[in-house]
Amino acid sequence: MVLKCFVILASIIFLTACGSHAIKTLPSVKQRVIPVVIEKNTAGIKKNAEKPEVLDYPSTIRSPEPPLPITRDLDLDLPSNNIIDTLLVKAQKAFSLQQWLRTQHILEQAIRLDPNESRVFMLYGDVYSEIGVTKQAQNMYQRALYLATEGSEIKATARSKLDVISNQLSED
Amino acid sequence: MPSKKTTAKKQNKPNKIKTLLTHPTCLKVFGIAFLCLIAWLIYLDAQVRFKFEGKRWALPAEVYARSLEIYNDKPLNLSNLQQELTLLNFRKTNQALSPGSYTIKGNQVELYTRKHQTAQGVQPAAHFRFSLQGDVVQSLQALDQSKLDLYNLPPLKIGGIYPRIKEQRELLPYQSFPPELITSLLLTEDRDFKHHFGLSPYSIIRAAWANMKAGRVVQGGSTLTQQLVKNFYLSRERTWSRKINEAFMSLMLEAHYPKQDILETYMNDVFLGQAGELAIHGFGAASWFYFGKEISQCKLHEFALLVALIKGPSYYNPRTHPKRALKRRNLVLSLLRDEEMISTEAFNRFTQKNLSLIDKPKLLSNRYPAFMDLVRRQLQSEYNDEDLRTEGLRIYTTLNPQIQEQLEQAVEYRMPLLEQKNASSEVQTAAIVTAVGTGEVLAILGDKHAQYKGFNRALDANRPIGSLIKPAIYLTALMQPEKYHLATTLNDQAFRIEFENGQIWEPQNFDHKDHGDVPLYRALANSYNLSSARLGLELGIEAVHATLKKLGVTKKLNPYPSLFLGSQALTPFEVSQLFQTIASNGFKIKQRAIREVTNSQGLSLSRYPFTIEQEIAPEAAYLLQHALQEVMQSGTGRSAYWQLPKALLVAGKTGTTNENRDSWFAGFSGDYLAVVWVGRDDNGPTKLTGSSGALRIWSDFIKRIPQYPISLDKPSELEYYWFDQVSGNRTNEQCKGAHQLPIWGSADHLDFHECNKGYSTVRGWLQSWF
Repeated sequence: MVLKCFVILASIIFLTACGSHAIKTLPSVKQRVIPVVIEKNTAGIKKNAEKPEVLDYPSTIRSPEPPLPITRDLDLDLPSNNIIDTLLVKAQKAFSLQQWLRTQHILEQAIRLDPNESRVFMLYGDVYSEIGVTKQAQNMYQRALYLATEGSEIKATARSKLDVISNQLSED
Repeated sequence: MPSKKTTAKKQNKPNKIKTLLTHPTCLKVFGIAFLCLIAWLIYLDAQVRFKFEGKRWALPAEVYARSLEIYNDKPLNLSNLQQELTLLNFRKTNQALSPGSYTIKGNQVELYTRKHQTAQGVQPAAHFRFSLQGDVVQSLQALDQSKLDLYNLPPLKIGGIYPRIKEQRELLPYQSFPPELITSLLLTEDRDFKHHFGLSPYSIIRAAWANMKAGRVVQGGSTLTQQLVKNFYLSRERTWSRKINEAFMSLMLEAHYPKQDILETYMNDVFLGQAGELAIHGFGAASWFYFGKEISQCKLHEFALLVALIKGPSYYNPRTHPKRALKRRNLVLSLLRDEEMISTEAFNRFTQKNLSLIDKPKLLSNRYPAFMDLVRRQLQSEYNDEDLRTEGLRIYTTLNPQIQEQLEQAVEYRMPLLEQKNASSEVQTAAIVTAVGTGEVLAILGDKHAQYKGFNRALDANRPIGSLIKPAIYLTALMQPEKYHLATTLNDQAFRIEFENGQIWEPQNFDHKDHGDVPLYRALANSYNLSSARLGLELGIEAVHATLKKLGVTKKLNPYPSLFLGSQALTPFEVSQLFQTIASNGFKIKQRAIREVTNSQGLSLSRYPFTIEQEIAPEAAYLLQHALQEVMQSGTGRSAYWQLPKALLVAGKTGTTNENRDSWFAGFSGDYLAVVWVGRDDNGPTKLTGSSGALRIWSDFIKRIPQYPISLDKPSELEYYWFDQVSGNRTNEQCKGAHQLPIWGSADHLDFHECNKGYSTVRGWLQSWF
């Protein structure tokens, strides 16, 4: 029995040894990866303790949402060709579905395209208000108030929302 | 005839061997050896399973620039679009029929994009066209009847954060590898792959026989599994122990995992080239590296070249040894023909094709070192370094490659002229460009040589900011409308302060002259030191400190009066944050270089949302912006308009330190804020002021990019009145030298003087009679 094992082992060694003189690929400069085992799960990615000024959102908005179909959206009857109007309609729709992260993505895109549009900041304020980040909501309404034209409805709405937030903050 | 003794000896020999083998000591030795072998096999098995079932590779973090957004009315220059498409490896064709191609006919652009990942998710491939009329996108429409309002082009990959051993790899599932590639691979490297059990004795014997006949190594006998084991788990050393381990591990790998998994791992792991310090692994990364497109879009002759490279990526490097590579590629094609996988006609057609390589590799190390440095610093405060280097994170940044390119060109053009003027090549520069409305960092330069990877002056050069401090002083005053307004008269006469320790501070103007009484806005426009220092002392150091903090300066501030003349040292990045708040009408927008970080599957890990905070009353910010526009119209920044069109309203401030050691300029239009510093690393003197140094680079840059002028919406609390430019008194519109200035609140209490120096026009004189 032992002899048989020995013979099998010897034959394997012999066969592989033959192959060792016939390495197919030429020597190259490839370097080895040093294996570092970290869980595949993304939850395993550790962040450093000192968390910076990234806003802390409620867990609901961390949930995966559908990708942003900004490119094609057949089911929306858009009021005008203005890209900001288009984005606002989409943001409003996402807002009504409580897709906060998606709404933020759309609004931030709108701010990049036109940073002086008060309606975008109003809706952004509403998003923060909904998710309970009152201070940021206040900041967004203040910006909307600043950008809105004098006597406009947006200006009045921003003012009243700021009053509500001020009352809330003073009560807290 | 053998003797009896000899026969007895022969009969005794097996008995002796048998006795020896059955000897208890010998049995013990065999037993121990057998146990060791078992233990060793268990160890190898654990090793095989541990790595294969865990994280197989250290994947670098991939860093992307912003996506170029295409929508109706988007300002877009054709050459900029072409430049971006070239960087994205789009092919210019006569008809855009396949993903990754585009056509330009007159002002009509047709684009067929590839499916790609963005921070918002997967963007499907899209086929659309638009026209460019006067550098504006018009008539955007999809070519498949769907509605298209806006399309985000794929973001340009600008670099990565690599494992310590630098490897580039694009992980692809088995299904993503085209069958033609797999056929070519198996036919060339391991014909028996589907049937063997990890080792192929037939291949080994065949290779050994061929090698013996040739008297040298002419053929290999390793299976794909063995090659994978060698590259994946072991080293390349040619030792018996390595070969034995390889054999056992190959058997184990085959026993544990399906062929498809093994082949998928091989195709993602095989070494296929070297790009500087980066090793290119896997067919996914190699197809981008050699052909600038994804593997699914490659043609048969391109698959053949990739397979040909396995034998020796350096020896057959198609860029350095095209003839060798071509010969080897055609050999692979001939194997396909011999096995009747392709017809002779197809073989002839494919062998006629050239190597179809792209000009230069597109996925090399970081293109924008200063920007990447900023990204890395921001990430390192939140992520473990090892995770950054190995988890395959996708980092979506704010870099605008077009703006970066223009900034680099401006510096490249202007710096030699400044060096010439300064009679020294030791002059260095740093610059940063951000979007006024969002605070996104669009471009950064940390050195006059954009590709320099060392000291990043934009982030680390702490230099006295000179007169760039003055807007903070004047803003502090303008925030007190009951005491100060733009026409408030300031005293610009020499003075001295003697400190308790006997030290004397005696500031001077740049021209070493006193200017008497000057209106506040003129003192700022002409950057007078005496009036500014007097104003600062009047306001108090604490008040100016408070304003600087509101503007976004977080550094510990100089508590001495010299602060008012800019002895405070800041980096260009910090100066940019300070001016960001001014440009954003008193709203502090935190500058950011990253929008979002996702994992390799696209799941969001961190977002860096737009944040805004009102720090300064918009009325005060408006007044300061007005004064800073005066700097550009008639003050120290006026030379900018030698290059810029008058219609482009811009605001800014020059800064120069003692002996011209630092030349600064910070300025903004309606869209962009740019801060430029010029000086020497050894803090030596230069011959450059803020106007003759940094401002020149700033103007060179600003004139290159299309943008909107500053457009200020006047807060309702402000009203415009006419003032005499010299005395600062309210006056009539018709008076000579009358200048309109915004005033916060009522102007009734301000002194009103009739024209001192006559009327500006005859009409004005006539009007004064009625």
